Amino acid sequence: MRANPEARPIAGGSDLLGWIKEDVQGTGEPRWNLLVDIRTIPGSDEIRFDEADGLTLGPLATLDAIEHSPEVQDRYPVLSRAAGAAASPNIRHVGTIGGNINQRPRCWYLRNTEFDCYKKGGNFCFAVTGKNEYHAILNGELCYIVHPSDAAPALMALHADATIRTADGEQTMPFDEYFIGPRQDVLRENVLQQGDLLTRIHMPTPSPNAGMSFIKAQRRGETYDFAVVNVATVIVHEGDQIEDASIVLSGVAPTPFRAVAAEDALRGQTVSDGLLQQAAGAALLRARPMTENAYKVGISKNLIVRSVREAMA
Amino acid sequence: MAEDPTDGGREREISRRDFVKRAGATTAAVALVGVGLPGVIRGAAFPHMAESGVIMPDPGLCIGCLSCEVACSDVHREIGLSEVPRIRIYFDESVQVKPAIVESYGDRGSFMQAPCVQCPDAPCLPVCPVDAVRVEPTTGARIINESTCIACGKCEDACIFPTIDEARATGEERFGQRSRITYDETRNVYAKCDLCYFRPEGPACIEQCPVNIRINEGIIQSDVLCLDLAPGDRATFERMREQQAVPAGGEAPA
Repeated sequence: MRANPEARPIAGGSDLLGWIKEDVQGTGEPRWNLLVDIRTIPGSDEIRFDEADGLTLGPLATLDAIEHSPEVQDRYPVLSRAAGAAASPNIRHVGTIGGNINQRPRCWYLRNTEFDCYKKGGNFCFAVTGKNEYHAILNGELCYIVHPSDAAPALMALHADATIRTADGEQTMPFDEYFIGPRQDVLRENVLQQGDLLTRIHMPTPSPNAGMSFIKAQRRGETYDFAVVNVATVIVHEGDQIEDASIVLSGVAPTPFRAVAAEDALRGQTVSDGLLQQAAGAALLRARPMTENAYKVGISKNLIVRSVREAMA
Repeated sequence: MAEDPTDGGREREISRRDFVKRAGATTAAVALVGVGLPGVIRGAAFPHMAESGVIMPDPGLCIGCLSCEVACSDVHREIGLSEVPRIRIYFDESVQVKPAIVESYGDRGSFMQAPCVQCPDAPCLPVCPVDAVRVEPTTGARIINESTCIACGKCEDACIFPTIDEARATGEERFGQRSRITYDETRNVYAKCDLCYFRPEGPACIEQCPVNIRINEGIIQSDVLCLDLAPGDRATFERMREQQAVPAGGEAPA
């Protein structure tokens, strides 16, 4: 795969096959003509929990298996719910966690081969002047995609690490550094280069005082859809006293967006309506909505407030 | 045949004196012409520096998309130079957004572009102890030679155009910018706008600005570009000095 830029690994294939069928290609995005099935790698779909070591996931563990794993449900409810919020039951049975966090964005200009946008190696973002109802309100620069994953914000909220295999060997990094924005490289959404593989996901055992919440706002309420905004929240608290907060949103920025300003505003404070409003406001302070997506600012703020309340309930 | 070292020495001496004399005369002539024909011979008051182009922004057309920042980083990274963006975009409520932009982009907020002004008498140039800041001959850009820069920071201090408080920058990344010359801690060098002298197409920011593209396509009606290449004359400098004055107060926008 390393030698052939037209080769891609395939596991569940739920994103990749759509990409191939839509024939998405451009100067920076070759047409893929070789798929390497990686499902046969032993142990790549493991879900292993150890009280001392935390949770280890093989990247090929399916979303369904993660959602229904008793340990994940018990100790990492935010991850179980995020996995269960993605797509439809059929897709969750074949779709893997690795595929979910590495899936390509849903921007309709990117997915349409007629538009030679930055992400395909072109030199224009059509969303800036076009239809941008579902595009980024934060950290958009050059390209305004939003990160589509439901699982990624949960992993980041749980301070998970990614282990990747590259030409130079194995490397482990927090998911906060795994996703990269258009400024680093507009052609990809994460650190993986051609031929690199995500090989392991690991997260520590959460504090016994941690409360968690995952909320997804989607356009089509009761059925399956990509998130307009979702938020994964982990709050370590003693009663009303917040010790630590980890809040990550997807659907608002080109990478999963850690609401650092909100986390800082909450840490060490006693929860109150005023505090939550202030924290949510701080998180969205730098929002730069486009012509049609300012509605996401309000949704994001409300979801942050709701998710912190829910995590502390 | 052996040369007479004394002769050679005298010859050199004469030619140096001659050169100094001639240079003085040229300076005087250029200065005179400069006074007589303002705007024709640019940079006349500073004949030791070639004229330069300048990235001339129109804040009223900026939509804060950061395409210029990212394009700048990209093209410099590609040729192995510091990827610190040489132009930055800041939130600035005092900027009046033009109607053509409001029509196309709605109420996106108002922004101020902060490029290098390529001052006619660039104060960043003489302060460099290792002559790493120099004038690039084809574009006239005042550029920093990264291979000789010793990162002393004198040019950054000498720059007379401070930037707005970085808390008001629209991008997430922080570079500790104070003026139009920025320290790149990953490479331990300073970086500034070099007008993309290595690109035959000209500055990447001007080329990739989506507002510029839309203006050129006639979709947005405007006589001026969001980012344009203006002649680096006194008039431009004075205009830029007025435009690029840092607004009072450094509060982040609410």
